[in-house]
Amino acid sequence: MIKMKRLVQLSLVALVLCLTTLCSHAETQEQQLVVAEGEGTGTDREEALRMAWQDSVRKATGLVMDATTVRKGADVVDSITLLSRGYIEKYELLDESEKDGLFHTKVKAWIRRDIILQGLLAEKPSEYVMEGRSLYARALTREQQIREAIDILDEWFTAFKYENYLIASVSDPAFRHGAGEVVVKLSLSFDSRRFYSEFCTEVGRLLDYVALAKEADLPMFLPFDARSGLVRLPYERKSVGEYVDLMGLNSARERMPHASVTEAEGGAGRANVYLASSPFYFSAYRLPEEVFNALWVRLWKGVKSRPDGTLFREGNFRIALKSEGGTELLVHEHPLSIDSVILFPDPRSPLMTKGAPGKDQALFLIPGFGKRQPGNQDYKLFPYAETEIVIKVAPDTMRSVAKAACSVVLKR
Amino acid sequence: MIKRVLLCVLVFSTLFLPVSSAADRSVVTSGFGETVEQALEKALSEAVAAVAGGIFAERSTLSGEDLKERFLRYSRGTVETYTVLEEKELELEKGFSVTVQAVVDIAALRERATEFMQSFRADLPSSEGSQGGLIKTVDSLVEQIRSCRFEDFLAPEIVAAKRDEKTRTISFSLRIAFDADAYRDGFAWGVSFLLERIVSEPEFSALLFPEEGGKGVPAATFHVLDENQVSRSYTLPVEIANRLADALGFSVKSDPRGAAFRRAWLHLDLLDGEGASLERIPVALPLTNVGAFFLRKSAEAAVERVAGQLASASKRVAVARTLDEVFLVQAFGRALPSGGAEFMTDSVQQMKLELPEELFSRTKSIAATLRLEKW
Repeated sequence: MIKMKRLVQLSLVALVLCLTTLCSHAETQEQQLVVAEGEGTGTDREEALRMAWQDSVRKATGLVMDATTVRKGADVVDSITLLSRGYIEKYELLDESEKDGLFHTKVKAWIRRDIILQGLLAEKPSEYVMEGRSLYARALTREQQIREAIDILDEWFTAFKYENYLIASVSDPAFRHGAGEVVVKLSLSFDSRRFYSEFCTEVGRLLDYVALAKEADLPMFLPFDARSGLVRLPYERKSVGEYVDLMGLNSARERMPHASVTEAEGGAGRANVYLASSPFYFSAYRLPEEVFNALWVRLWKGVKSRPDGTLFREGNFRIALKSEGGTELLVHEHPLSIDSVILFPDPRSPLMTKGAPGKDQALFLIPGFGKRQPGNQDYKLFPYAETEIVIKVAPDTMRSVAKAACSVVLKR
Repeated sequence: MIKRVLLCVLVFSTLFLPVSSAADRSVVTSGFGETVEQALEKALSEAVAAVAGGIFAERSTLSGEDLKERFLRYSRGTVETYTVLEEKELELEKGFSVTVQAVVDIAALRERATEFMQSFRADLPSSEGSQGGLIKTVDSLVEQIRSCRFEDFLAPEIVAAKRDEKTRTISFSLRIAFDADAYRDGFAWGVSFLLERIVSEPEFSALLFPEEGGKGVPAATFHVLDENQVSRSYTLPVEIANRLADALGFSVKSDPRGAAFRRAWLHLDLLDGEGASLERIPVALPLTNVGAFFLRKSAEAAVERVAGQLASASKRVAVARTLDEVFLVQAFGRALPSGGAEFMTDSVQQMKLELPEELFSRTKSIAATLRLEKW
């Protein structure tokens, strides 16, 4: 009898403990999510959706900032909203419409409070969200995982400021007074140092999150003459094909370790993203096929003003002629003859086959900008490009021109 | 019935109670010793032992009391923090008793287990007379070979580096020497010991010759050659030999057939005056075997010939052809398409790097590491 009484007492205590734990767990979950509605407008549905996510994350960030004493500032919020989809636990499409070619969406998003807080406290908030996590370890259905991976990659690659990696410079203007012309020399180079230190870190985290598998720090095959002992260091690569060779992907014998990526849950598959992580090393990633295909079409499928294989709708040098005091007297735009920056397709396979990636296609993330070769799948890479342009200037303006400045504008 | 329901409630409730962190585990243990320090030391050992129970269960090769004791001694540093809950002098026992609450780092303990397994040990529990002893010993040998880093038997060294300011070239000699001591102490004697144990297991002869008076099963031979060219040979059923060959790196993908590794990668780190890496340069080297060679079958006498070839290798003369079977020898080299191998014990390769201006001026020294690429 005493034993029975003891068991009843024990059970009651345990039940109370259990219920308390369950309640506090539910409460914690509730407290962890911030709900915010967001609206967005864009030229297509995806863009409108992206803007709506950003709006909701911006609002949620504001709510968290108001409630806590953390670092504040527009740059921090911008950094968080750059990768807004990564902060959203789930969202619901409340409304969508199209009018005069403009799409409008409204979403209700559940955003994790702890991730926003961590993002606000992090040095680089846009990077924090992916730190050390894997999408496939989360309790989501496969459809949800694929959807989220596509959303995240699409948002990141679309919003990424590729022009930040191009260093444009302009010479002092030379005057042809008789002809009413100003001549300037423009040069364009790629910021490789920034690519390896910033881009690789940021995109590496992103790919770690959305890729099924990865092989990191694979060495490139540098030409080595055993007889003379010379190790050639090809810092400059003139085509994507050169990367393919250096990565050892061109020969069946050498390709194996780099092309097959061991997946965490067993089995092996071909890598479909290659990231140059330093001048002579790279990482290989395998994205789920659906994710890779969706990203591919978004990146490379042509539209009216943009043929297949060009990343930008339009690219220009923006040259400003300025007075001694720095006032802009005249702005001239000169077309930039490049098709892509950093992102390139595998030149060995057709770019598109029936609206989908060509067989065994792969995405190369490499430091450079380039132009597609006519009649060729490959891109010519320019480590440095220079051109001279002539700008017509009215005589009274020319008298005030003292210097020139330039920047690059890329329109997606 | 009520009792059953209440028991169910109890069990169900425990499922939802908070659990401690996966990385650390807190335990309360006591120790006894002649001094307070000894008692504390014992209590902390007990804490590690309590947490290590799970690791012993995970690793079948970490069995046997003596082995466990050695592992625990090796792993004492994994106690992160501890609080002394009670300390008392025991008059009758003439000593002290200390009770502590200790937090043990499970990840560190697992790491220690891996490190511990990487060194060959001869103190495996005796399985004499017990069922499955042969399988256990083979498993243990396979696991220990797998955890071996063959790179550790090679010592790459940069010698006689010279700078040519005019051409911005750094030239140097890369010397790779086989570390015979590390190989013998950390690998060869352990393999020999376990091979001896395998062949002396009571089940072994029955495995090699299943029917009395009948034909034996397909077998392969492992030869272990020491520095005095003395060899010990072990004929193993092909099933066991395959597992060992696989652990040594040989694969059906091996091309040439005798290549244990695809190639070796030399990583050259260009360092500035403070030792920070400025650039990393990989160089693929045609080096496919370290300490283990798989050679083409031949009707000729095996061991004497390989021993002779090794003697030549010490004088840095390449060997053209040798025999089949697996040879564990104090050398590295590469498998040849002919089925033979090229042995080396000490090699020197001239190398030079033409560097961009800034990198050349900042580079003050070069460090080299070797990694073997698996099939």
